[in-house]
Amino acid sequence: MHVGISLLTLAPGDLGGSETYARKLVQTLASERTHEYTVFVPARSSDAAGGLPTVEVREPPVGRRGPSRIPAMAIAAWRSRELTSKLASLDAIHYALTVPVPRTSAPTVVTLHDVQHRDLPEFFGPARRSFRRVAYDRAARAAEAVIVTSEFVRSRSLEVLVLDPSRVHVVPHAIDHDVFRPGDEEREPFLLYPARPWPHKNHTRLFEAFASLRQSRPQLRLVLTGGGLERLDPLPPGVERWGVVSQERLASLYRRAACLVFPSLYEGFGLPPLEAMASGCPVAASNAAAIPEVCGDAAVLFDPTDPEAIAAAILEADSRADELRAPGIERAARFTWSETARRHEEVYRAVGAAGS
Amino acid sequence: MRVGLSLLTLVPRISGGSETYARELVRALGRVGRHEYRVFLPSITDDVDGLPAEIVREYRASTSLAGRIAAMSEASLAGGRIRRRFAGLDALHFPLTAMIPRVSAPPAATTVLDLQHELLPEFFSHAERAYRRAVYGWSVRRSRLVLTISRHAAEAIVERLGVPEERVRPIHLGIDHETFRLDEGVPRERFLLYPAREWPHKNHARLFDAFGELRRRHAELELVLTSYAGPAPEGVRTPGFVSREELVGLYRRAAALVFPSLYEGFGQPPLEAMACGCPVACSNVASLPEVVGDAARLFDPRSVEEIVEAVGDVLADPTPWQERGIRRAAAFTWDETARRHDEAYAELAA
Repeated sequence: MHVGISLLTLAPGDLGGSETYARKLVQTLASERTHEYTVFVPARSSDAAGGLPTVEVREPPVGRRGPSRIPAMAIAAWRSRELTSKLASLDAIHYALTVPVPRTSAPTVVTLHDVQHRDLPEFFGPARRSFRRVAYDRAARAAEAVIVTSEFVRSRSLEVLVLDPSRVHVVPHAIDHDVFRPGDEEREPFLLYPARPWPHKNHTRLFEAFASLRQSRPQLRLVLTGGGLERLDPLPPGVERWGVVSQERLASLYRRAACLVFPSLYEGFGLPPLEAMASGCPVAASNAAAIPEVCGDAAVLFDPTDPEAIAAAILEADSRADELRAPGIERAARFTWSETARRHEEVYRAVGAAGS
Repeated sequence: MRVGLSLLTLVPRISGGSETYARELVRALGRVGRHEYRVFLPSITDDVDGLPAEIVREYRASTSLAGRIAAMSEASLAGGRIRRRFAGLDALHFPLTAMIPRVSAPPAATTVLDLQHELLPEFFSHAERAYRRAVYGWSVRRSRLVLTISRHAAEAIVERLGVPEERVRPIHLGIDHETFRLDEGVPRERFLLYPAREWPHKNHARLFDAFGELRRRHAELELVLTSYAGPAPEGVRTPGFVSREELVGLYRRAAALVFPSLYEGFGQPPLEAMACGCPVACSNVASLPEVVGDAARLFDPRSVEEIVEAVGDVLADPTPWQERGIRRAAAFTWDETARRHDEAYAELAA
């Protein structure tokens, strides 16, 4: 069978976890596929298909932010007439970044990364909220199959979007075990939090927790990575802004950090706790949304709305570092991109069979 | 308390480093300052933002050199009307060095960015040197505090201008972290970077010798010299003046910054490079060791051999230099510079 995968709304460096997912999925399928694939990519990211056959779409359907993707989408949809011949030969199409462009009559699979705009509408402007409602919710309702990243997103989407449960499949994300692996580096007195400064990432309460820890441990540092961190200025004492680091440097930071602290209020999945576990780094993580399901019992969980609880969990993760190491490595090992890709192929197969 | 900042001698886009300093200081005081401020501007500029400002029409500012000298002489001889503008202030700061007009009240601070005319007199004409000596002389004599940008510069001020040590305050400059920041989305390439004019103290000749040797060891290595308009050997690219955005791109892609300068009052390029994750091999003279700390691989800039060895070390193992650099650069913010100025202003009024 012939499956199309659309990455047309890929905005390099701007999407965080969903971009990693889309790129790793097609890269893994490129080497381990059992179907035939065509990947639809924006011309600016023509490298994203990982070696699978591509159709490049020249006009910029790369909106930097949600609302600016609406005209971009329209252009892509209009342009897609030029792609009719390719699209007509598809047995299924997968919108890996949710937004359903290019349109086709083939059965559709949509990945729904989260329903944050429904669960935390106050973190979205009206434009982004209505964009997500139009683009995400409709795409999910119209799809033959919806792929979600966690049981948490599945139950939330069944509830708020009223989807047919038999069409919603949980396929967890994974991590790159060639990059994130344990080492024998010395642990250093710093906490690590890789996250762009979006409101749900909860930097403010983390800073409160960190300030209280620093009173008794003045040597302690907090290293922040990710784009856009200038917005958090001025940073409290001991907090370091590193910016967008390479995967290799992030892996090296995990191997040396005293602990990963992950106080996010909302995650459809949440890769950093798994990346940290794979690197042998103790994890103190929020008990919100999909995070407990991803971490299992290999992390110290806390209530992310309570700075004192955050601080206590950091101390506990640090003191139990040796004890958490083996379960963490073992848990992370279960999440491989091969397995993720294989389960995508199963969904494609089911949808293609039903459509023919 | 009320603090005045006089930028009357500002000539937009001509003043160079001192203009950047003055503008960033005003902007940062607007963010973190704890006093009441008033900025005094010449009529040729009205776009300094961050603090309440007034245009001083009595100062006949000009963009031409002759006009500037005329305006300064007139103001320094008959500055009464300008001085009246300073009434009611508790402290006054001249960030651009020249105290024009001369004032005896309120108590004043003057910033001296560097003493190049004293330390490198061969680069100045007689007239320029005489002018600088006169203006710097009265400006520091009449100021209760002399602010400067490094401990090294402070020592030179004590030694060369005879200012008592207890009246000199070294305050480091900041860098613009919104512009100079890490993005490892682009891979590093095989070139060394040195952003510097072709001035003799920038030491290009020894760098070329060192580069020749480095190129024998790393065949495909290149050297990129921005702002440089002199002769250059093979393997050296000279793109001329580049925009800040282009410079950021170069810092992000360069294999290393090499900074063999023989004199700097401060030295921002090493810090800018560090903020962009670029490993740094740096001269150990003047203010540079104090600015880069242990975050750069230091070398004696008069020794070609040492330059070769230092750059070789950084290329062989960049990671520790990159990480120390990221942390080092983060400590240099304009907000911190502004807070230290606020402390000096408080001392003036006390």
